Amino acid sequence: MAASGKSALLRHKDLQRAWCNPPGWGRLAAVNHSIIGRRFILTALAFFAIGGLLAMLLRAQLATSRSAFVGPEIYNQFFTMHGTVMMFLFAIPLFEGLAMYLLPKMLGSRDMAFPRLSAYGYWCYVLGGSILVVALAIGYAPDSGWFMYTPLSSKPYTPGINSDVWLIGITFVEISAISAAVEIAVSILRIRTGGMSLQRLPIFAWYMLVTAFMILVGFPPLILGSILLEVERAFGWPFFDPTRGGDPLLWQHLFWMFGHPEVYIIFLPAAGAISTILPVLSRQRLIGYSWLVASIIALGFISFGLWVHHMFTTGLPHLSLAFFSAASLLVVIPTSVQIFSWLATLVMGRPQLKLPMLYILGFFFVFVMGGLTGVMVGVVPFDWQAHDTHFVVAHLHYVLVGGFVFPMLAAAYYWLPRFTGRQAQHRLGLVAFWLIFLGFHGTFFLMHLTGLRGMPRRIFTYPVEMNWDVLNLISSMGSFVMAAGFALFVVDIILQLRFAPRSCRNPWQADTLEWTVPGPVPLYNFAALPHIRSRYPLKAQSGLALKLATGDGYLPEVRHGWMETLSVDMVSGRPDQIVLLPKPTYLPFFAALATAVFFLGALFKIYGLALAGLATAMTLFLVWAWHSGLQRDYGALPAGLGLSLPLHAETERPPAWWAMAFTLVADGTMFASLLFGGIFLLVVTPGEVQPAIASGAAMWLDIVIIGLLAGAVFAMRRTVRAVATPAPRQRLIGIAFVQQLLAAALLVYLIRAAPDAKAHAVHALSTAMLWYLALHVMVALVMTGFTIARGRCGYISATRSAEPRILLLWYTYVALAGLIGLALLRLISPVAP
Amino acid sequence: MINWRQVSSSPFGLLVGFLVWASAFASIYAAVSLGCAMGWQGVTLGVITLQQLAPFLLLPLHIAILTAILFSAWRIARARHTPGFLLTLHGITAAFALAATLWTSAPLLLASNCGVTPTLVKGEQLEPERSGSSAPH
Ligand code: HEM
Ligand SMILES: [Cu+2]
Repeated sequence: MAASGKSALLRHKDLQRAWCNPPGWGRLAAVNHSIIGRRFILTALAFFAIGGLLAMLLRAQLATSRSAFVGPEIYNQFFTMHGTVMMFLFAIPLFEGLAMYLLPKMLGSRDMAFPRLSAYGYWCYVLGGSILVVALAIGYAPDSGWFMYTPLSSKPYTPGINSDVWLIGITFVEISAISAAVEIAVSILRIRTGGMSLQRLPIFAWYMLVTAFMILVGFPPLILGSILLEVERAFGWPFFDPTRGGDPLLWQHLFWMFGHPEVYIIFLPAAGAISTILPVLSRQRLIGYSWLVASIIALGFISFGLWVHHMFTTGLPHLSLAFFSAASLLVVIPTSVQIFSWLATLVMGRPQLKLPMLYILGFFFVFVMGGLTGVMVGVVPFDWQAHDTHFVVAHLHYVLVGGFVFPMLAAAYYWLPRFTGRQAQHRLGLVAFWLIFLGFHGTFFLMHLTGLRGMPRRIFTYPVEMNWDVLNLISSMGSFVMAAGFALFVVDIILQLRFAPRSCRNPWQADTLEWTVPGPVPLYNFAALPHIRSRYPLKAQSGLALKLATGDGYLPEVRHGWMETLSVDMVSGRPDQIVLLPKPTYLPFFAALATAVFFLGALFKIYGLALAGLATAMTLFLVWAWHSGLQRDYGALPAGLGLSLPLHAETERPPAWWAMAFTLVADGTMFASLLFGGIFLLVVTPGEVQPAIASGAAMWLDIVIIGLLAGAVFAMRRTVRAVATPAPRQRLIGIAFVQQLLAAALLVYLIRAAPDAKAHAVHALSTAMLWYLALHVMVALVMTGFTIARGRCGYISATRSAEPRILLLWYTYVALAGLIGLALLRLISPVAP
Repeated sequence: MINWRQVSSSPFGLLVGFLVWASAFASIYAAVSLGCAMGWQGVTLGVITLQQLAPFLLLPLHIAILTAILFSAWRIARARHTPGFLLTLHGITAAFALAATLWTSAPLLLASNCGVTPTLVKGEQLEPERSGSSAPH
């Protein structure tokens, strides 16, 4: 059905009708990636303004000695909120938004894999961020520093609500990070256009893929740590309290297992933008694509072996220090591979000094300096000197502003014509660049010196005798110059949005697919999806944009009002499914509101309300899931270019299967962190610990639970095999349900029989482990009930077998976690049978 | 047994090399820390202590696995005309991982065991080169 006689305009009208989005309040129902991506970006910029304002206040306070602008309480809130807002509410959401907006256009698809999930993540981000900002406005903001060290952040030292705001608000926001990561990983691996094999993936997609996996593995330790700390604060379970067998260092470990990778999670997308922009502006293809991909993967892994370098001064054994020092120096290699690839591309090409390029040069300069000071503090004896001084503040801003803000500004100017459909204009932008660049060095270069002169970070004032006044005053003046630069950037963007003339489609002569999308961007991106034959489709396949507009490609027709895109084989890029995308819906918005009720209930200790919120959210998720899938088989449908493909609901592994698999990666890391906590406490806990499980409950209970969970897996496997025949299938799922129900009951019994979790950290950890398992079994129960109902209503058939398969993944995970978790409990608290 | 042909033609195969690195890093680090906490350097087995034995068993094991991965990638590549993108990448990551494993294990040779720098243990009595039963931090 390729290139049927229909005109481009008619095709556009058809697609427009299927993809339209309601106006007015209907905007709350939007799920389209362009809309959600744009919202993420704008919201992140708003948070950047808030974080920047706080930075200005910090600098105003530090400008002179014995300043009386704000007192220590307020100063503490300001720097904590500055760090928190910048890291969690600005940097991460900004690149998530950029990825959501760009990836489908680069990969030749019409949306991300799970548009409703994007929308849900967005609302979680906005609502969670609002909790923090409201707390700041009314003076109850967190004040223990952005890494919330215990015992400072524990109940005895921070009795107010401040720490709870952080723990609960940030955990809420993290939902959006995890959901975006799942979404990005599945979309890059599966939701591409035909012919886009792995080796033809735009380099930006590789960066985002690795970043997504890093989020899946990097964030769960923090989420776990936050939950444990909140439980300690709210219910007195002493995970981090040394007087009852806990250990504050456990928090530091959990935090930095997240915190160090976080720096790379922020850096990689920025580097991805550079690897995309720099070759285009150098009129030279990126040199060393494969090496670059390998070094991104290496960087992703190695960055998880570094966290202890934030704890060099905690009195760890020499050997640990040496280990982590070695790993810290090792990251230099993959980072250098990237830098050399960029330099080679620059040197081999014919670079044009356009504004994005100027920002990239700024990045080089700043980031390399940050890297040098990074090597300095990576060396243990130097770190012992510089630790917790303004030297570190300088270093971290060279890395973060250099490694993230500058590349993102380059990206902003590079992709602005893509967002607006207007020409890029660079007059004001140039002035803004120099203000930012010079202001930046004015602010932060001098902080190296104040740091070496011994000025600690996080002090609200200092005596005049220290002779830090001049440096600090210049620093503060620099920061105001930089702020003026950012303000000018905003003005520039607004002016360009309003007044710049229309742009041609591919102003930079770029070679990635996003530049074939017409501007202003239609919600469906492509009238037909291209077949790709090169990594540089725009160069290799001339006239592509025109062909697509006339329907010469995949999925050129609208049928049944469906919104369709392709799913491909991960490696070869051969199309294998037609994915039906969801229509706009209010469900994500209301689900996020219900989730907010849960978190607010927890914050204000109204646990009934919290549970009601949770139940509502769960119900909405089920409604949401119910609206997916099909009640009948359609068989293979024409997909354009002579191809016929099944709908995703009629395959064994639709995108949702992968989403479950990747979610379990994140869940598994959370579980591993819990295990780590158990072993850590076991190793450091002095003296005897009483048995964690009441002696009445003997070993055989564990065995029964594990047996039940394993039996359920077995029943589910047979369900999958018997999926074509409704009666045995429904019976087998029923059996699995009963087994899970019994396992849940026994786990609850174990929890009730366990000794008082408040008495000792090991008890607290054991009980937490039991709760972890029990909750997972309960979720299994809900999902099983759901699947039984789905089977009754005809959503499951021989071809539509994905739902039991997805459930099987969960079952298998729960059984494994049960085995390992219960074994750990025996290990940390042996009980005589 | 693992089918390397299959592993090397899946995108997840790219993770294998560094997963081995991660395992080496984590297990050696854990063994050494546990040893310090449990006083393994007191347990002698012939010429070496238990504390020394654990890492010197773990390291060669991981190196052997990585070498095997590299070797199989090389064999598969030789059997084809062109190695192909994924296999090349597989080889590069495994080689990176091998180098990384060697580098991050180097401290085993250099650092003194279990010692803590005394001045850094704040608020505690200074006892240089603590080792033995309680955890050193
Ligand atoms: C816009 C210009 C910026 C200025 C003038 C600025 C200024 C400062 C200052 C003065 C401090 C130290 C407060 C103290 O220790 O007493 C600080 C801390 C910090 N900044 Fe920035 N900053 C800026 C941008 C950023 C950005 C873009 C990020 C991250 C992406 C960031 C992340 C942090 C973090 C994580 C801390 C540590 C907070 C803590 O100690 O808890 N900053 N900043
Ligand atoms: Cu770090």
